[in-house]
Amino acid sequence: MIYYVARRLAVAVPTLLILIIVSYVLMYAAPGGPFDTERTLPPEVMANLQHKYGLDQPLVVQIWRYVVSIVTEFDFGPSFQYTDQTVNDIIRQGFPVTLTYGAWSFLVAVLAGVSLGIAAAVCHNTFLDYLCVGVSVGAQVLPNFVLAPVLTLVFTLWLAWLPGGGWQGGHWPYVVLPVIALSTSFMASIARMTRSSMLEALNADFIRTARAKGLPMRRIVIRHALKPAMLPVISYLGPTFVGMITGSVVIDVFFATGGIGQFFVNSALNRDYPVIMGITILAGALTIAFNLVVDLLYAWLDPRIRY
Amino acid sequence: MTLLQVRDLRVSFQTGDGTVDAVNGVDLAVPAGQAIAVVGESGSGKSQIMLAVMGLLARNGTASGSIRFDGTELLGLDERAFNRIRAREIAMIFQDPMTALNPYMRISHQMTEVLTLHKGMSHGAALGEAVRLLDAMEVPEARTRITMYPHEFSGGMRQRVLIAMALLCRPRLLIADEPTTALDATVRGQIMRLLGNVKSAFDTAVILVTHDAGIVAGHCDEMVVLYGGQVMESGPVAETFAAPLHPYTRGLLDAVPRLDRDDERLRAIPGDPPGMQHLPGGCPFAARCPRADERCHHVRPPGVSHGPGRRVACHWPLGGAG
Amino acid sequence: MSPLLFGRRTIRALTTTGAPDTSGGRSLWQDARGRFVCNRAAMASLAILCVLVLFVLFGDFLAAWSNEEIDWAMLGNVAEEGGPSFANGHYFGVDELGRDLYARTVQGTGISLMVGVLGALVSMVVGTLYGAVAGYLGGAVDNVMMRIVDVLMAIPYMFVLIVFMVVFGRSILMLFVGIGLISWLDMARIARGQTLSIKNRDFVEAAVAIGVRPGRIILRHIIPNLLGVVVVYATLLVPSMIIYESFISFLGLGVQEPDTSLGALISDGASQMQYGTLWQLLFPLSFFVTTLFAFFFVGDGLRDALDPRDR
Repeated sequence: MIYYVARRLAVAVPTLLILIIVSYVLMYAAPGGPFDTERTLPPEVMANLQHKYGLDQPLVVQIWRYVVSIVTEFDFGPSFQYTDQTVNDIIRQGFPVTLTYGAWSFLVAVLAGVSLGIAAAVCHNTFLDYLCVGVSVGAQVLPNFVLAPVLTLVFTLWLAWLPGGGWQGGHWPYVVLPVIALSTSFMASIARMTRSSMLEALNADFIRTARAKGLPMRRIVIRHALKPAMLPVISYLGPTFVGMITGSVVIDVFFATGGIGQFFVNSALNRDYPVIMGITILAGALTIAFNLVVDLLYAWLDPRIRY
Repeated sequence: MTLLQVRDLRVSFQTGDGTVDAVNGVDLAVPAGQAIAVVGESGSGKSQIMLAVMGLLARNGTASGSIRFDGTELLGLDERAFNRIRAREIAMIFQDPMTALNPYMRISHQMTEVLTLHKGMSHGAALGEAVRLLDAMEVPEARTRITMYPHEFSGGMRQRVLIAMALLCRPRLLIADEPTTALDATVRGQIMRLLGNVKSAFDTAVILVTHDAGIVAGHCDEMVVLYGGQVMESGPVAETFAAPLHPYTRGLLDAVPRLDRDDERLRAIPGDPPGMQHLPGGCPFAARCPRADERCHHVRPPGVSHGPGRRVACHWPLGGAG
Repeated sequence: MSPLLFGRRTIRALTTTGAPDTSGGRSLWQDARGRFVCNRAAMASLAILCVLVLFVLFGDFLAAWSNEEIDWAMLGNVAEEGGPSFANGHYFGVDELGRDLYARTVQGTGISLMVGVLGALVSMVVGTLYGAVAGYLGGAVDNVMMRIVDVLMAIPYMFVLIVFMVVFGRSILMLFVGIGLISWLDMARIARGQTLSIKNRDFVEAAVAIGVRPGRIILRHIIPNLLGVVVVYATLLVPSMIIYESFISFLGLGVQEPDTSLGALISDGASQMQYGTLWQLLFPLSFFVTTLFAFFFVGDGLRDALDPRDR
């Protein structure tokens, strides 16, 4: 088990390094620097600024410094645009917001998706089953940036039930629409996946054995079919996580939650490289860590996988 | 005493291409403590009869007729009542031991859940009983190996586990559906020997479903020959082997390699089994039968008594004037 | 951003539908075409896609206004007078700047379709070549090449794509390249899996035996036999490409004014909806949803046609 973790880490660490280096090189190669404003600055001022941020050093040195400061101090450097803030400040400010509704969305998507999928599979070819299939097919064409405006239209403009934006420290009415907008498409995918894998599991030979043993259906579903049916769903959790991280950018921008995605898009529009990089690397690190957890979970659940 | 009495059983399936009649009016009787062989080619409906007895037909299948077990009608029994009969009264072993065990559960758990559920045993007591049965089925080091997962067992060992699991509640009837087909030839003999012991050691009636008439001799008391979802012939094994009444039975037995005959040629039955979607109106075997005449193609022969304990459904049975 | 666009069944279908077997009787392709034609949802979707393409190609001829022209008569009171009307030639109404929404929808649909199809094509070419080379060469080369794919897959691609767009400037060309470059990973895996099963077939071994060089074997023998699988997968890739593009354009990081795409139009419409100009949201939205549905059903139909056993 320890060997398995070590081997996974051996892949994860270089991945993260490559991500850092590639994004830094991209930034370095980019035409137009962060201080190319409408007013052309005097060359001395420019040189000063460049020196202050270490941009006059050779590329290798810059990358080395950057990596070292991230690894040793978890320091992503200062922001170019928000002059009095560091990237860390921005992450500290925006990340809790994104994490809050992101975690809720993840929970809703997984719990609702799995329950709906199991119910549909157990009640195969009934109304519930058709509902599940219909919802998941429909949700396929409703990515979050389509769903968010539609939800706001219905629940904010027409029904005036819920606020269409803002955060207010995470007071619940402000969380509901972001969570629905972010989780629905993933819930639908998970439901569809659970349904088909549960159907497959229920048709397996060993389920027939379990029925021949006189076990009641409820016990068969929970004890015998659930685990094999969950395995593909678990391996889909990684992509779900990536999708939610990405989708949170849209949610932050559309609902003006003050989450990290808003900073990301602003920085992208303003070429604030340290912030873009910092957030990209953070997202990458989270993704890699989450994938590691998923892999371990999978290995733990499937006795046939050798570490 | 007759333990299981099947009368005029019909099983049909609704498929995308129409109705398939898999079983067409089968009668079957299993006396308590006896071993019955049900012999037929693949597609003869033998497995579907057993699934109907267990109430495990696929969703698109329907059964009619009567299946009485110890006086209780099983057809149309609700799931809850059926679950009190499965494993406790009737247990079943399936063809492929590689897929019949849950790969995600330890053997111990798969076995003990039967006892804790049906007998209300504690986990510890159930575990002890499970180990005892694995020992009886000659699984080496049962006490330690019971905590393993199925993929850590060979095919033959898994089949032993399945037999042990089926016997946990001491059922009065054990149905073994092609228990050796998926196994290596060397393991087959061992499994058949174990199954043969079951009848005496556990006082359990056994239905052995097989396509291989060769393994029937020496292990079973009676045999029933199925073709096209109908009973062709039934009777005591020894007499049926010595003098088959139905041309199909003769064909089956001729296809079995035997050491006690000089004639070394194996004879295959020419032709293929009929498609179950459009069974001929007459005898299902007529198209492949050397003795068939016009009547065989149009009139289904009724099963008639032919000597003590023997029945045959043929217009021109062998070894008699018919 | 990636709701499950194709389930496990697809992947299995894709990895089991081997090379077309032309030995005897009707070919696999003829069979598949027969099944596809019988699939009503897929055929209807195909018809819808044809209509959409016609709309993109010839829609401009029906437009009374160009996509850049500002109808000064509308500016300032868009909410009252800017709605859909045949009288003033704004069939879908105007946007908040008084530009004709019909013309903009024609253009936006065109760009979305183009990004989708070209992105899928780029990923198809890159992914197939990469996967075929890795699978055919095998051994250490395969190992390294697929490790690289694993590493890239663990990166949140949308962030990288945005970084890419920021660095190299926002243009449709960059969108094509960026989206195509990111989405070839799955394709490479599938192509590799297929190659592994093809490379031991007789015709490849025959080619090896008579001394054909690896490059030529890959191009002439492996890749033609991958096509069936690759085409199905590419069809299912088009809608996800469209979603990626719309996602980026929704954030304002994609196509630049005066050009537009469905994602940008939805974003505009969403930002204006509190003023009651709902047509601005609903027209692009319905085109978006219809396009995606059509592609999904065609892709599903193709998959079912090529893998009939699992219905």
